[in-house]
Amino acid sequence: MAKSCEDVSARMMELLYGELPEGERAAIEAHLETDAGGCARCRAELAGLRSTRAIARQVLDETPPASAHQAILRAAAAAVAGRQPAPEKRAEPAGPSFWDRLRARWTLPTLATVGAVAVFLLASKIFLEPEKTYERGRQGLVPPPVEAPAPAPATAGEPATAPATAPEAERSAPSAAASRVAVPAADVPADGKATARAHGGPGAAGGLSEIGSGAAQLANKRRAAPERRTKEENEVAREEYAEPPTARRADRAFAQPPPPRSAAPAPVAAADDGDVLLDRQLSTRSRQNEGRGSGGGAYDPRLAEKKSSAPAKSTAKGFGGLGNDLVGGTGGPAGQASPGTLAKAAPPRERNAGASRAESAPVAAPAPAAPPPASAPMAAKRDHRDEAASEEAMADEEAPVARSKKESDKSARKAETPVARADRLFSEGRWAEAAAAYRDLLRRDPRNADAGRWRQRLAAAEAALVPSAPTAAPPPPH
Amino acid sequence: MDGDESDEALMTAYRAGEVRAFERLLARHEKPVWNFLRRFSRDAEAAEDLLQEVFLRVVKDAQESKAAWKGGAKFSTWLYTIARNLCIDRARRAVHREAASLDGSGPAGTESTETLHDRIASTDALADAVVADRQAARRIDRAIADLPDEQREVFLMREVMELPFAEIATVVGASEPTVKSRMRYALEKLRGALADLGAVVISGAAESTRSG
Repeated sequence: MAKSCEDVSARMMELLYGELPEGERAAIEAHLETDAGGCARCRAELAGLRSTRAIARQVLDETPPASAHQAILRAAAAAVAGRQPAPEKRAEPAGPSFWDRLRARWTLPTLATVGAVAVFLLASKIFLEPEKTYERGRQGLVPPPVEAPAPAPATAGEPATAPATAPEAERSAPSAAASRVAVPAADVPADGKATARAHGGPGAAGGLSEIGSGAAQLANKRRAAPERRTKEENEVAREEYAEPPTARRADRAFAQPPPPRSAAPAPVAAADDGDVLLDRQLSTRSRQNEGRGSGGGAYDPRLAEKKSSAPAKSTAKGFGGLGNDLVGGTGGPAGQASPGTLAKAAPPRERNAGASRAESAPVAAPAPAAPPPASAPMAAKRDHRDEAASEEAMADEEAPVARSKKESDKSARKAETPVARADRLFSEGRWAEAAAAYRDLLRRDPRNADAGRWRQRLAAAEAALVPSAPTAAPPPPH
Repeated sequence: MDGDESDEALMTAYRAGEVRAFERLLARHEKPVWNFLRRFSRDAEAAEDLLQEVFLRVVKDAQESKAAWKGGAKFSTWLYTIARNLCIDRARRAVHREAASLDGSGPAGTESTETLHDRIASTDALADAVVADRQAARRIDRAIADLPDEQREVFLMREVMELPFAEIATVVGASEPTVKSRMRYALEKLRGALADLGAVVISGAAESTRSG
């Protein structure tokens, strides 16, 4: 579409400064064509303005005075220098490094402890209801209604065959004695035991029904293996375990109407063949974990929870170092000690039930494996000590690890790419991304020599994120 | 960081404590700001003070937690707004003093005479290239200084700072058509004042403009 002189004149400034809309340029240029009947007047107008521009611009290229330039630069540097120390000081000593240390040392163990305690409390709330426990205890002691009678006879038959072969087996493999001895104990109440647990067996702090049934399965497997025990051994075991103060306390506790918590031990302990196996597996694992270092620390608390439901001995054992030491102190090698533990677990029930039953069923003698109630707190204490020990170990392990990680992060090759990226984002004005990048850098490597700059840029990028008004100073009235 | 970094990135970097970023900003904008101040204030000495003040404002703003310039705004718009407003403030404060020299006192008066003389005897001036250049420069200075403030600022922002019309409109707080119209008035006035110069200088300058 042809443009009139008015159209061209109206667009003269855009034409002169190259701001013509693309759609109009061709038409306007056509109007100004030198040949083909272009408008000479408009062409002259444009030429005149162009030459005026050219003339005027000759004086508009002065160099600013050097004195002003220097003064500005000095002021700019001084302003930054005056401001610099503040953020540096604030960031270096109290910054993330302190946090890191704190976190490495305390957070994990604390969380683990809190978790374990929470699980214990929850479980005791659920499983240790005084009335129910009392009822169940009585049911177990008085002529049992349905569950109790079945297990006792069933298991009673098994040990009968045992006495003959058992001694040799134990002598040849003393360490195996533990598991073998455990069998009778578990056998007696194995069925009743498992059910007791599934119903919310008292001792089952962390030992949820899952564990109970798992224990029962293991116990059943056990039955297939040669498992026997002599009466003498049972006697010895009983004597041994009658002596420790914890055992005595247990006896006392059971002499009276069982307090809510202690009513359960027998059933709990009965499951313990399975638990012993479990413990053995767990303890092996935990030992491996200890060997590995900080991994053990993370694992232990969980163990502690499971342990709390198991007899004291197995708990101690499960915890490797300290546990084994304790065991060794009382009964020598761990393998020899554990039969005793198991034996200890059952008696309360037996004693409460009455001697007649114990005699009639030889099984009952070895069976006594219920954890003495008093030993549960003890175990808990041990757990705590173990936990504390593992905490310390973990803290010791992790601190150097964290430190060495920082060292390695410092190396330029690692930090280079993220830094370059952050700088690029920053220079591109992508403040949000740049801020995130710097934040990430600072989190990963707060002690980097460049951290001060990152911090500044982070602050700047964050400041830049705030939406802004286009102009700063209010224009004074003209 | 490379040389292509935007003003905004440089300013943000300076705000983060990078003095070198500010140096680059200064290198980029000092000359246009200076030439704007120099022509807009009509006073070289005042222009030097103003130049420092403009950039000191930038320095100060970079240290403030509640900065006037935010990352989202165009730095040049902000900077030239500062320059313009400082200029106007100063002119207002010194209005009584300025009033006395409105039509040129001292050297300005001489210049004015010269300009008039040059206009009459432009062909003589061309005889000596050096003299001609000096005289021509003075005349151009004078012609620009004679522009009304609102035309002069638009003209300078466009020619010296090379701001697009839209941005000039933002800085001066006027509509874009108004800005273009002021620009046109300014150019036509200059053309009238420098017409005789144009006959000589144009030949070279106009060619370069056309070719460009």
